[in-house]
Amino acid sequence: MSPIVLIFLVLYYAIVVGIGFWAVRKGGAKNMEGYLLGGRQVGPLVTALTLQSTSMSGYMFLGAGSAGYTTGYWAIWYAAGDIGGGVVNLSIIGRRMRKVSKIMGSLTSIEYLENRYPHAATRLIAGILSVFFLYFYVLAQFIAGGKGMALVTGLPYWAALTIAVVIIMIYTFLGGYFAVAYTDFFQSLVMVIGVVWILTAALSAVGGWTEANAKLAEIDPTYLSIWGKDLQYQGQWGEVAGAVLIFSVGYMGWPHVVTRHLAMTNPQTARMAGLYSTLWNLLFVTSPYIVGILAILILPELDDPEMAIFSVAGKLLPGAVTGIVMAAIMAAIMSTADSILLQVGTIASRDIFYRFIKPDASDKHMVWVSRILILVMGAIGFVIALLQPPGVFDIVVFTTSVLGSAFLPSYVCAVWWKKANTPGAIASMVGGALTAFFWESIGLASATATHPMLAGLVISFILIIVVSLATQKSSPVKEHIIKTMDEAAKLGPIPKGMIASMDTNLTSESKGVSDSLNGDK
Amino acid sequence: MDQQIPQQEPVATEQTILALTQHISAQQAEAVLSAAASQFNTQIQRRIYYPYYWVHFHYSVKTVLGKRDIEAYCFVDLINNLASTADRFESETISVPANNVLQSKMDEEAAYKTARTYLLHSSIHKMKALLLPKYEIVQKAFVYKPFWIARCTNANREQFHMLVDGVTGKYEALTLDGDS
Repeated sequence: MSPIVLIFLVLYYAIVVGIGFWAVRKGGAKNMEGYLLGGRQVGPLVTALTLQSTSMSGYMFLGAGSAGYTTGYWAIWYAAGDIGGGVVNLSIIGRRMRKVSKIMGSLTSIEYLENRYPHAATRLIAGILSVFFLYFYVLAQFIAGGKGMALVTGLPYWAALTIAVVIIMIYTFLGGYFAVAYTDFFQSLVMVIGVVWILTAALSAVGGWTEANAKLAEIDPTYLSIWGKDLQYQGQWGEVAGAVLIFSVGYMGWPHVVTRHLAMTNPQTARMAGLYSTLWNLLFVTSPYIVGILAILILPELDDPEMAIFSVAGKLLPGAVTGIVMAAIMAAIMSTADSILLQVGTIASRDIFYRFIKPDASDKHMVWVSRILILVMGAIGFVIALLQPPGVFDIVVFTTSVLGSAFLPSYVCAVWWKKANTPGAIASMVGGALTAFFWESIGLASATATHPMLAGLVISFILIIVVSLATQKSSPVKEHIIKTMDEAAKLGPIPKGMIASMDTNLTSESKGVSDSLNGDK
Repeated sequence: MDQQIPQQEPVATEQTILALTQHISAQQAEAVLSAAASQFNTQIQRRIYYPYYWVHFHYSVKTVLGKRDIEAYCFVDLINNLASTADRFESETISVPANNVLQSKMDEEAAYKTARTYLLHSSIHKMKALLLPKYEIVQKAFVYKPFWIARCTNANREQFHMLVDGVTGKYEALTLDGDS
């Protein structure tokens, strides 16, 4: 790596830390609290980009590029799912699920599952599955951080990995500078510009899109096929469906955090932020895959396909720009890693330790449990990433398959099917997770031409339906749950436009007033 | 069967409460709903005051960039025991008919516990710092928020009711017996 790249890399970090110091010391207390605690006082563009920056991870920069580099246009199936995912999430399931979770007062998705399917086993199983599989995702960030750091600094992988993991741990324990809206915004902006710049430079280097496709066809025409290199997935719609499902609905299986905020003014920020987010997604999601495909032409002898985007940047961009963009990418990877680590720590302490081991634990005690657990997980992750690092793409697809298969049917049935009960949900979570987990390893994916994600989802849905129906008499769904579902579903003759603009933050007030008025009758 | 909500606030015992300052009048609430459901005839039926427990926390967290001081406002819905963060707000002490004030279902101690748990949860999640915030309570009080209840009907005799936030003008559907 050239000295210019390193100088600008250091310069970038200096600027970001400077913004962080400025924001914390000067404007922190007054301007940031809204952002930190769920408000929207920093404007729609900043809100949108800061939210999106948390979703950018090692997968986008290493996994997506690698998928494009090794499979050609087949990789676009994954991007297609990602683009459509937001729409599916928001329009089909999102609103009703948000309503039910707000009526039930669930702070985490695991609490939500336990409230809807009331039994201690629901929370225990959901908590263990979440902690175990989210941890793989953290591992992917460790590997991505280590590889990126190695390329940027020229250090050997083991040294770069050590630095990356230590930095991630410091952020996790002490609160990194990324939790400041304006540094997140700056970082996102650099990445958008950087990724578009890399894509433009790559297209220019290969003589444009048409020329690139012609050259790819000369090397191997199957790179252009929607069935993958060497037509390895030809006619296998089960694989295609799985690839699309991964990022369209698979992410919905990830444990999410519910926060609630009462606005005291009526800004249009949220709506505008949604528009900016969609535009960002369209621009950002496909670019890494395409750069990976173009890298086949630009760097045909690449040793590690996961380095495709970093290497294309290093080859085509000016040294100063490479340094800045790589620094931003590294920052995004580390920021994602510390977010997921915190989430894993919170689930382990709140949903498992506090709930099952020490219900009288103080807040301080619970924070310490999280810290110790995160340290242990960091150490184990470091050893795995050092000794036998799996591919980032494989880990993320695997994790999303298992979590999606485990939780998606339970989330969906929780709001759409009144007969979904606790035994059905538990069978679905366990059965779905096991199916997705073992499908690939025992050779069923190739034997049946079906992606583990699709297989896991189908089994999971079958289990929740069959087991729920079989146990209706012994485990009927409780009255208050059915009432909550009715309230979330009941829209009557309300015009669609009005439904879309209703504020789910007022759901609990609506329930309180409805109960009161119906009772007054 | 149609839900009968008294359109006139009946003469009743007055109750003095600390309420969030109302910014949305009945006419404005009607206009907001009419704009979103133009084929329906909208009529404001009643104003109610919803009970919350409000806690103003001042807390600080040490991070790699130094100590962060944060002012946080936490509202606890006293009917459903749900906490949320909130923006700064204006309030005033007013006297209103007692039957327009919804009754709380929680005591202060339980509400405070809910607020504190939520603060810890949201601060770790949002600040991404695995640190226990040091906090002090600046102020706490029972406050009430004004809401408008509106009935929307159309020519087909279909009807639904809406709850309109008297501070922001945002709205959510009510599920009342007798609605279509």
